[in-house]
Amino acid sequence: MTQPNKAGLSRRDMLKTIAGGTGAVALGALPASVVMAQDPVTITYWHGWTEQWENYVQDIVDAFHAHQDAIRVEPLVVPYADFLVRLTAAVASGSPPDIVTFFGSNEIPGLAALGGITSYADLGTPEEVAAIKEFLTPAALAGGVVDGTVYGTPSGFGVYDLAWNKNQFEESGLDPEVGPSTIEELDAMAEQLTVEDADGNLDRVGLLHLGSHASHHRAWFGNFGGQIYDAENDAITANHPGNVRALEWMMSYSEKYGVERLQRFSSGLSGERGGTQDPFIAGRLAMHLIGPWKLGDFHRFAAEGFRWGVTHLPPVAGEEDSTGWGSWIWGNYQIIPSGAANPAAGYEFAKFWSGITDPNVMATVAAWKDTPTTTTGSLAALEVERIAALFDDHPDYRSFFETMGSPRALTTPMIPVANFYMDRLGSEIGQALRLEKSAQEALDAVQSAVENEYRQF
Amino acid sequence: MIFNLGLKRANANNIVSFILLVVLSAAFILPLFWMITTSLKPIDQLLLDPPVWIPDPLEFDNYPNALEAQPFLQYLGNSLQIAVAAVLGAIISNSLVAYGFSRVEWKGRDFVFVLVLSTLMLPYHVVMIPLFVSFSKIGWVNTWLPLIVPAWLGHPFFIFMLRQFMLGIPKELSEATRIDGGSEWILLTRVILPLCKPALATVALFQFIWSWNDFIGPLIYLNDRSLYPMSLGLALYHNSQGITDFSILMAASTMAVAPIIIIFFFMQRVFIQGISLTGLKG
Repeated sequence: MTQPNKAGLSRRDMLKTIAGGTGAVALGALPASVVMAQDPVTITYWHGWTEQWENYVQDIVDAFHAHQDAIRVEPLVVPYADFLVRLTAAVASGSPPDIVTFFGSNEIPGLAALGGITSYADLGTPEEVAAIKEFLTPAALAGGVVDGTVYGTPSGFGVYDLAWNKNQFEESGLDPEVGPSTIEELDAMAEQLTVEDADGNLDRVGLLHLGSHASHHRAWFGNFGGQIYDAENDAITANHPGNVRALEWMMSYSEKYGVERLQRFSSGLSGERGGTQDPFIAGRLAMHLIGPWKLGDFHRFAAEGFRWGVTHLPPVAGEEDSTGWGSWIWGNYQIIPSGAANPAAGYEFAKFWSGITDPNVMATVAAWKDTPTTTTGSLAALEVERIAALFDDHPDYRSFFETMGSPRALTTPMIPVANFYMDRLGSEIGQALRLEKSAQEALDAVQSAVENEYRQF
Repeated sequence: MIFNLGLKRANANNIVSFILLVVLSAAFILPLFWMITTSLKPIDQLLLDPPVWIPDPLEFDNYPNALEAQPFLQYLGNSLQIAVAAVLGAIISNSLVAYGFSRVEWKGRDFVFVLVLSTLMLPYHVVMIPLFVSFSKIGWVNTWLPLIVPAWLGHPFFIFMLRQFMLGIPKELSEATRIDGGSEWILLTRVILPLCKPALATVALFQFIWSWNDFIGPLIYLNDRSLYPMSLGLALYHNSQGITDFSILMAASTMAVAPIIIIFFFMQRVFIQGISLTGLKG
């Protein structure tokens, strides 16, 4: 005679129920097209990461495979220079990949306007899309939103803070442990740190504007309370008073040190990715805007004894209580092309990339092999154990996350003429920094050209 | 006296021409020299200012490293297969069409020829999407067929070049062959084509270079990395996020252009003859 189970349920039945229930919950979280598939759905994923970064992508893909077994991802590296050409051809012929990554969000508005990408509203429930909006910082969300519709979610984020060379501060009689706390202090320090050779040529520059990267100029715009685009009123704001003020301040460096001398100096600098030749690592620039990826470079390429500090961009004296620090930020965005064979599965992978499904992946996304490289689109990353552990070895890394959440951190305007806008802005800022026109004239020219282009679009 | 003056002027002209040619040659050879010298630089001499022209020491390891960094030999093999298949197609198809436009009389021939030539005016980017859609519909995407088959369907530039060459061959040769009972096929294959060798060599070389250097075609049609040719493979030596090792990239580039330089070296006499005899030379 069999002993009846007290609860009226055999052990085997209980296990069956748990297994079935767990399976139902797990499957319930997945979209219908994935659930219905007998075998795992295989999706194609195009990206532009090359060299060792292909392994980075593969690590994310492997983590996704370990996280679930309903979707398999086949990554394909496509040379990024002509990425858009290839994607356009594929979308036009109805055979696009299921998911792609864009470096930056410049292309998203144009593609969205042409119907080339799928809105998240067509892929997830309203509650799910609301949760995504909640998860991301406002700036991270903004890079994937066009006219209020979410088209993409970010993975890693680039953001700028100000680094200073502690050794050179010490040599120049400055306190090496304290960076500038106001713009006025920054100007005085820059002057003290600038060194000329016997012929009067600049040998070291305290802070460089003429010849530095265009995104550095835009970071300063944010720091002076400027704005690139007013999303609420759909207005181009190239000649915003904050931008004019920032440009006039940058031009004061050209006036002080001389355009020709600065041009001669900057033409002799190697690029931002120059390894040991990087101008900050090589000691040619005493203060410089850097992204978190530089922290790893300092460890790898800088000479022994090289000491540095990182701080937020300093505010103008009297504006210390303003809303945060200026910066320029941009992210890598995952989007689902229109006509993809498995859009729902691509959407699942996009959410995973952004840490929405599992925040732990953000440690690999932002600090692959435990080396700080980027920030993330969500400040939930700060709660991730592997990222928090990095702050011990890289205390400066936290500063970038703080800046990431700052309202003064500017980003790419989500309009179809974003590339045109950034090109014109770079060109006009260059002319102003060479003192060929006033800040107001330069930015008015951008305003008028971009407004005209935008109207035509 | 006048004779001496003329001789002096001729010598002066020669010297000026010589100097001009040397300067122009140096300008053209500079990028090639820079590529080769960079391919032999150690990493710490890549970005020095002033630049290092002759590296010390010479880093020959960059070449085996370039072979290891990417499946270089696979890219090379793919490029060779695509280019050779396209060259065969270009020689066969263009010579047939050019023969029809130059040696056979038929109504509307010149009108059709102008029509064919007018397609030269269409930039590739205009037809790129319609072509991609067509090839996609017939299932040719992710194969080499879109990169090879168009070469088998004639190209207006080659048709024009071969037609010009064939027009220069005396008609009596054709008439004599016909009197002897030779068909048009015999005439084409036994008489005309053997006389067109310089022009055919030029077509072959041009098509080889086009196929070898084609980047956009493989970029949009190929989804499988094992099918990538050299042009696409070289782009993958560029580091998307970090520091590109330009010495490795330049070593790969040097090896990639080597086949074209070798082919040109051996074929330059017929190639130049082909250019001059078809009237392409200015």
